[in-house]
Amino acid sequence: MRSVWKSYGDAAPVTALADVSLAVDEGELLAVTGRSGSGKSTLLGIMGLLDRPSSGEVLVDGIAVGGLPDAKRSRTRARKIGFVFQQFYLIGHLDALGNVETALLYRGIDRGEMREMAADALQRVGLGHRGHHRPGQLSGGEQQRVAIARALVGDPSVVLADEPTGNLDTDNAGLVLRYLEEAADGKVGVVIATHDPDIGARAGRVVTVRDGQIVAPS
Amino acid sequence: MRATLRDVAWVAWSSLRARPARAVLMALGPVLGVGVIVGAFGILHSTEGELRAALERLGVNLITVDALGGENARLPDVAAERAASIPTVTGVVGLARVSASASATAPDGDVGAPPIANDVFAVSDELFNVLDLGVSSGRRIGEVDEAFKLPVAMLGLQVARNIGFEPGSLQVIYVGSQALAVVGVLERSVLVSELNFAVLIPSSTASDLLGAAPAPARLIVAVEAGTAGRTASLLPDVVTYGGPGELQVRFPAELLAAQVEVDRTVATAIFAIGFLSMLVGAFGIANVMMIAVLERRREIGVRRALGHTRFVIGAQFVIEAAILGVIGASAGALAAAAIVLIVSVVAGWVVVMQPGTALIAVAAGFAMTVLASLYPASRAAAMEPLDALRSE
Repeated sequence: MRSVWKSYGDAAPVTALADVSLAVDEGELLAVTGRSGSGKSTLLGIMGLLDRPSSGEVLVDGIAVGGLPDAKRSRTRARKIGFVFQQFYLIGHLDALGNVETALLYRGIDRGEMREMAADALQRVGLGHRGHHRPGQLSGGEQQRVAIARALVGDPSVVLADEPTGNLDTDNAGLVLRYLEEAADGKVGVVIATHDPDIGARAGRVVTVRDGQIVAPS
Repeated sequence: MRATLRDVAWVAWSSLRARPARAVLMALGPVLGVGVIVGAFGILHSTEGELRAALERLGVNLITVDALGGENARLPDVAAERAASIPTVTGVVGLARVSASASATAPDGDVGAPPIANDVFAVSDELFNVLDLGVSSGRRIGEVDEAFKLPVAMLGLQVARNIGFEPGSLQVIYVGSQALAVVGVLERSVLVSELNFAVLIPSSTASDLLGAAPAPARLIVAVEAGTAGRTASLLPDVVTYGGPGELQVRFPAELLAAQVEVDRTVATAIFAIGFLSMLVGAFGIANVMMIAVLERRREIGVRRALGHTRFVIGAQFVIEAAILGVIGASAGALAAAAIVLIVSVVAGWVVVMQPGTALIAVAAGFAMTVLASLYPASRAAAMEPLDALRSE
């Protein structure tokens, strides 16, 4: 993203991001740190095309997507971007396979193939045997691994993880981080917004956001 | 596009299966709306079918001709012969009211005995052929009674019941001071209900009693199938022969037409009720679906984050409604048809089902459900992914 500004409100606008430029490379693990309210989540929302910048440009694979209509942004999101959230956000009435498949819908993929891809993705996060369990039957760590499988199954260019270990114990957090690192070993760029200093230590690069600005790129 | 539709349908179906109670609640709208329409029309058509069947049994080819002008109005003496001269007429019988009341006991001087019947009719045995009427007990009055002017009588069914007539017993009734032996009881007449409350005597016996053969007040005319309307229009002139006297001509087909007119009014009322119940159902569906959209905000947010477009999010809700519309409307129609069938069988009606009406009602129920889902679906589609994800 280039020179991105984001402010909320018309009368007395609050600036959430001020002139932020940031690039994520293939296979890179980038940690975004900063206090609560510093603008990390806004940054991820704009990078993930969930929100539009007030000004500036967002490029995915070199293509500017900021001004695209909603349907095209949605399609770009489906094909290029994976998300992992702190609260997992699995769909309660679907089993693990169904949740992973949700990321593959509306792409013209045959149902059988979709099922195979979802099963493979679950296998990669060590949950091949839990495919038919619903979120309520899985532990928090397992739910987050299903979410990682869902983020990776569509072969995205970048995975954006917002406090992915925030709700997990140390063991599960370690496991989740390992799968994200594995993803970043390949062609996927992984961005993790976090408070966790451990993640910062394991990331290839760390940027710190304060008051909507990147203050410490490394 | 086909893959998109398939995926939307799959998502919609799995969402419905995950919340069966809500699905049932939503399907109640089309179930009730379509059920009311199909059920009410089914019952209406079955009662109409019953009426048609009754007319079929009575003979739709019968015409009645009544003299107008009060109690003592009479048709010409030769009215029956004149009517019989029309080529399409296959049988005629005159009902002549004998102006004497009947009683079960002999009149005692000036104090008359209590009457047992409304009318005493002089009839020929043609009556039984024309009305295709049998006896419920005993025998008919016939040619022999006529020829020998026998003092015999037949009782209408209600008269026989009123006096407690025992079939086979010797029963004497009195018309004026004339004693007559009861030889039989007429079976119930639906078309000429007066016969059930009357005493019938042979014409020749009547002319003996009164001194002259009475002129008929009513003709019952049987005609060839399909000629009732045409013959009915000829009858007034033929019967009066241009002479004085007004008369009224009626035939069952006319009654049927009047009934159809009534049915149309009832059908309009039913349609209005059905439309209202559909409207209420539509509001119910929109309401339940709106709640569903709000409850599923986070799921909508997740799907939007995963790249599902606004279009497929909206389409998912519309297709959920379409599935419920098809299932609910069909279930409503089937349940209503079953109720109509049971009611008809219990009531002894002729079951008349009109698949056309049912199909239109099902289509309307389906359309209503889909229309009702459009607003909630548009609200779901309009949600911003981040707002939806952050909602509790």
